[in-house]
Amino acid sequence: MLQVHDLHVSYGKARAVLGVSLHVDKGEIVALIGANGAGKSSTMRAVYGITKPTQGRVTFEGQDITGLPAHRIVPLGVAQVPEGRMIFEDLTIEENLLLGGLARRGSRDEQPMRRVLKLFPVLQPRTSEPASNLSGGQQQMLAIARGLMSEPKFLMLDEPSLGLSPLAAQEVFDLIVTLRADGVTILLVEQNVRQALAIADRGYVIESGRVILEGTSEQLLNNELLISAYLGVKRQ
Amino acid sequence: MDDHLIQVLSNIGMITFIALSAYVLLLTGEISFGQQAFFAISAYASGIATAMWGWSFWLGLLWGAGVAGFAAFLLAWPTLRMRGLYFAIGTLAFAEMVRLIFEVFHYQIEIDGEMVGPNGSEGFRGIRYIFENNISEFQYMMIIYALLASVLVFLFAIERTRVGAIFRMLGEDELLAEMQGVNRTYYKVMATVIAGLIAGIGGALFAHMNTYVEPKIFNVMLGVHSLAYGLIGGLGTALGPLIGVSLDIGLLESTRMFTGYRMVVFGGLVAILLIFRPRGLLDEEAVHAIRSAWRRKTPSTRQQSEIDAPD
Repeated sequence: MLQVHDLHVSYGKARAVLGVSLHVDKGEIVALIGANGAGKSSTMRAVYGITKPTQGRVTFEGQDITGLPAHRIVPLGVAQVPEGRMIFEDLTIEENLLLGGLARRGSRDEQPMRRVLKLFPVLQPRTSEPASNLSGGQQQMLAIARGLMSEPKFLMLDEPSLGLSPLAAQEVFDLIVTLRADGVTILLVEQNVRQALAIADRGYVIESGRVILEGTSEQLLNNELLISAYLGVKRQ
Repeated sequence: MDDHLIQVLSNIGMITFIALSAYVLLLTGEISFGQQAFFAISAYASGIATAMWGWSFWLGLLWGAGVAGFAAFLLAWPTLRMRGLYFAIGTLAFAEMVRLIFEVFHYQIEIDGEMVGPNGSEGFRGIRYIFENNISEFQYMMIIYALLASVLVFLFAIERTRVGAIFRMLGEDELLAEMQGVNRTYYKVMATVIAGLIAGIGGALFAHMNTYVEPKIFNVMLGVHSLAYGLIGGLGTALGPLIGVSLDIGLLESTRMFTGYRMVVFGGLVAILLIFRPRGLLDEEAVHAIRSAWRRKTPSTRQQSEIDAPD
């Protein structure tokens, strides 16, 4: 579904991504893991057209989307939930959701809103409240819900568990599994390696702008290097 | 109606156009100190059309607003990459540039043995269409308010469509808006042009009511005020700027009470509002509260369907 070939991203002289290649097949959950500053988010942003890659190729369902601006990529059925629960705080929950669907559908069709709210029972009774009233976990839910409003086939989640309590993080991960069951393909950027790999089919480990390891979640979870670098102690 | 009242109301109406122009850009998150430039461009362009080329008032007004809109379109490109303070400085520089160009702009022709047309810093006299065609001050005031009502209706309509939502989205967070699939360039240019057109309508009305314009009328203070009106009145609806203008011109400038102290009182008012209602009298929250109170009174079918609909 998504193919990334030899992607390079630079911010001026600082080179963030140095030739990342990866692919996500239909129906998969793929995790992109690595430490801070490894180039995970830059890779996502380049795929999504927020940052222009300096080199490389990105194709989505066979179509070349390298360097296309986001507003041309969203209509193809791709949505991104940005890092850090970015929501429109001054707007109501309902407005936030509508805005997620607006850019693509151009109408205030109620269908997606109802379907999305069913997935997020916590948001349902509070739709007319300002989004800033929500707790951190709920804001993250709202950000994901907004991403779903454009009815994407492919969803990119950038650190959805960042800053959440373990309980809220677990809820988010459970939700991701539900979404996949609904037919959404997911690319997940995470620092929470264990939980990310627990739900992902495959994973890529990125370090200093390069993919240093790839494989199925099981292979990665048993990989000595990954265990020592990211998991610390191996669990029995 | 007595003449003084008509004059005050006409002034409020005309200045509201430039306040609305700044308001449109405030919605998209940009602070412009330069909307007076479009007011000025249209004042000159429409004045030239009616006084020198013999066009009718309406044609002159369309032309003036059109030229202002086109100037806004041109300005939109270099300022597109500017944000926040840089946008404010960029628009300010543009407006001052326009003003200084009018200071040295000479274009006069002889009509009935008299030289008519812009004469640099001497100004542009003889925009007399309204008086030559026996339009009374009261009638002219009605024209101003009819146009103002049209612009307000237009802005309300925009707010109800996706364009309005996208403007506010861009105003809150441009990057996030782009991530939702918004074509930023397109909507930013659109907002700038709409703002230019609205200021242009006001400028043409101003020139024809005053019969005389000169560059120094369109100085920075006009731009600063037009911004302040939106901030005082509130950014929740397009009525905010009208409230701001009415407060300043209606209450402060036109009543004898505050003669000489207007700017002091105005400054104090702005300071007090910034403390107690940082987003203006009719801010988004107030508008929201009013709307939902209204909806509770008359429950709309739409809300009902959201609650009751079985899935």
